[in-house]
Amino acid sequence: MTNFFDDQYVDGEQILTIRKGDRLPTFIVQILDDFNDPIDLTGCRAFGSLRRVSSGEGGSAWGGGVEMLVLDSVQGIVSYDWQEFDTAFASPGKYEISIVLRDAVTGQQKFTAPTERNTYIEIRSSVVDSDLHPLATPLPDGLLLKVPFVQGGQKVLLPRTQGVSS
Amino acid sequence: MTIARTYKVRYLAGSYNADASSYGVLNYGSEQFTYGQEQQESVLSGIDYELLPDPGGHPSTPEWVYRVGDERRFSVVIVDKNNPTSAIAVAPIVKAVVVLQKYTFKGEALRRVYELTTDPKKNMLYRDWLPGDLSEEGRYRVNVQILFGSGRQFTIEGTDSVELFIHSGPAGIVPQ
Repeated sequence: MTNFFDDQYVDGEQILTIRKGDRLPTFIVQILDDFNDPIDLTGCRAFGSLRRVSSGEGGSAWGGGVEMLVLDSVQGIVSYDWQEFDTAFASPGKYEISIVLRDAVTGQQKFTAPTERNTYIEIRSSVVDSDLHPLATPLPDGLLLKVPFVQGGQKVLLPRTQGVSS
Repeated sequence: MTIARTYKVRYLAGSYNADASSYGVLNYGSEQFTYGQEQQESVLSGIDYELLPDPGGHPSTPEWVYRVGDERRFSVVIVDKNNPTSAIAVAPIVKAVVVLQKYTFKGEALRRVYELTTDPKKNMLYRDWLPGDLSEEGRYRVNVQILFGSGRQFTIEGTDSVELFIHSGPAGIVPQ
């Protein structure tokens, strides 16, 4: 383990920041008990959901919930590979994450992690509105975008057609 | 399965191997896990990445400083904050841009978008500024957006903490 700040991730509020339209960084978490020992997830399936906690428009990045990959059941490690439009259509803001563990055979809900509401994903606005996507119109080099400031500090992007090419 | 009074979740930042031939290898302790990503991609299992200027290779404020009209190369390395000793492999990146947003008190912000070139040998992204690129003095927020061949897009830094300054140029016209 080469996480230099290992301990700080165990207790207190944790936030993973990702930009709107991005599919990285990868979502990988470890589920722990009261003593920070990993929970054995053998025989479990994991389902993640996001609840928006920021003010303003609602919306969920994962819709009604997504199935996650149990990477290592003994070590309690679960991951999710962001899909194409997971964050592209989500409203920028802070989302509370919860992972429901179900019995792989019966589907019975065993528990939800975390028990406390302290783990979040923050989706921030895109800097160039996903224009790198292969299907998007290529950006002219040196393109100048004019971006209005909105009261409250949140920045909103104009549609590409309103950008001004320098 | 262990029964606990409360369950906790922590984000897991494992080490990554930028030269791995198979994508998705996460080192956790002495174990290695493959988590179903695509081959020939850079392995990104960290949770927080930052931009480092080159030359320099360490965080500084501001990260880049220029004068108006300079065409000195802009180089950047992307590292995991929790494992800053190795850079993201840039070979699988199919497109990269740097976005400069000027801090301003005006009603709108100006963002300029410039393409970056990859240097796989040094795992670095760079741009040789063209005449006119650095034409407006000011303080700019810097973001780099990269796209891998798999279609995965990644913007660094997520926290908008990197800056580029352009100071005023020399007075008058400098003879060529």
